[in-house]
Amino acid sequence: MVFSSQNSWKILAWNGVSLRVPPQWEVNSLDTAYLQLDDGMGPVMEIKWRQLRGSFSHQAHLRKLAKLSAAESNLNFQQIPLPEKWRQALSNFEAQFFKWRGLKIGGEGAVIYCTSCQKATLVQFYHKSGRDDPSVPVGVLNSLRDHSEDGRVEWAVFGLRAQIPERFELLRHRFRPGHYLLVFRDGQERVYLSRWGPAGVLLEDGDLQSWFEKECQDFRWCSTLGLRQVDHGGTPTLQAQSQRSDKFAARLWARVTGKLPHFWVRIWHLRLHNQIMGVGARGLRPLGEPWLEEICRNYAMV
Amino acid sequence: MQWFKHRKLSEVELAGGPSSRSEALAYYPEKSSEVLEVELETGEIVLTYPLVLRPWFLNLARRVGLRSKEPLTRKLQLDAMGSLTWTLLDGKHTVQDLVNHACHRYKLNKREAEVAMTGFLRELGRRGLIGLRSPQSQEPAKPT
Repeated sequence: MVFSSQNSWKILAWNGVSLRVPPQWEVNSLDTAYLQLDDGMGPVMEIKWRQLRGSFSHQAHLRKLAKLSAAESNLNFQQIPLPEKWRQALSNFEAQFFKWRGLKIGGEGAVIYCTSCQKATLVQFYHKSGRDDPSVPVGVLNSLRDHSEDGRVEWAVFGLRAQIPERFELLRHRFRPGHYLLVFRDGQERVYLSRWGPAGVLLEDGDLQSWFEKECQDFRWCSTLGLRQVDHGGTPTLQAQSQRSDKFAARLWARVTGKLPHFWVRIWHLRLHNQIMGVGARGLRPLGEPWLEEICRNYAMV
Repeated sequence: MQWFKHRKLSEVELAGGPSSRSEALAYYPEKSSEVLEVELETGEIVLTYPLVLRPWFLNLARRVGLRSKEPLTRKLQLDAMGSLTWTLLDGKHTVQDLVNHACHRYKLNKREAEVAMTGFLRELGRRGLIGLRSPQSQEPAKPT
């Protein structure tokens, strides 16, 4: 397979891990700390990672992999020294290389450990034919980042781009045709990123407000009565914010009832991409607007 | 003991189908000749198709006099996106063409359009409204 220049590669970022991949590669399967990529002909790459607290042993993980491969018949697993190009690409990490060969398919990969963020990553590339370009895995690994430097975690999948403060962890995600949803949590605070589409079809019978009030099933916890139109450079935008008391008694009542009384919601119609974007937040205390404004600013489709 | 065993497909049967996503996207969806379509004023399309019942159930229904000889039919009203896709099922467009059309028309992400389109076609196939013709085959498709 011939790949275009690495300048045209796209960014893929999911739950703290980011990399650049050829434009033909698409996410085939994903979980909280796992991605499998596909090039249309089958899987090409897998990556999974875990945040560790204690020490990490490459040898222990390679032994586990060897044991797993031994259970499969006709699978030849080898642990060999890291090739020079891989060593250069993974210079920021401690890495061990492995290779395996089955009857129809083979692969190579690395067990990677980052000493600065204590994240362990297992990455492997599949070889389906002898014509695989060896520079592709090197290029992908060269772009691999497993922690952020500025306190914001980048998210880039299925055309969606966002940046979320590092303190938030992913609570749940859903990618269905027509609706994407990412929910994050930090203690008693929640952040919701939604994307609905195609906007041309959803808004066929009315405007953004009537669609949100009548059709949209998300963000039901926000009072639609409080929604007001705000000016955002000509972009149709709706916004709502709670005006509840922050007194001790009100917070205590919220804790007893298990409800998060304070909310902040912004919905806007991204005409260029024919999508409706939504950012919501809920919390026990009033939500600070500056960081929510920043999330909205960085939340886009590409 | 299992009473109803699902028959496993043989390797020969499996070999007849597409082996990758790109191969599956190269298939040509075709409408079943048994489907009647009516376009509403809104542009939406209503499909009328014969209901497929299991033979033992049909026999039983005839014997107890629950069923006349007229074929049972069902109706399916497609929404705007479904109607547009239905008009493109002419046997000349591959699934990939339909995906590209949806991507372009609705500015969808490629993967999102693929999932939506294949889900829609699978649903039509399950009801016997369309069949899929392989790129190598010259024969018209049979409803799945």
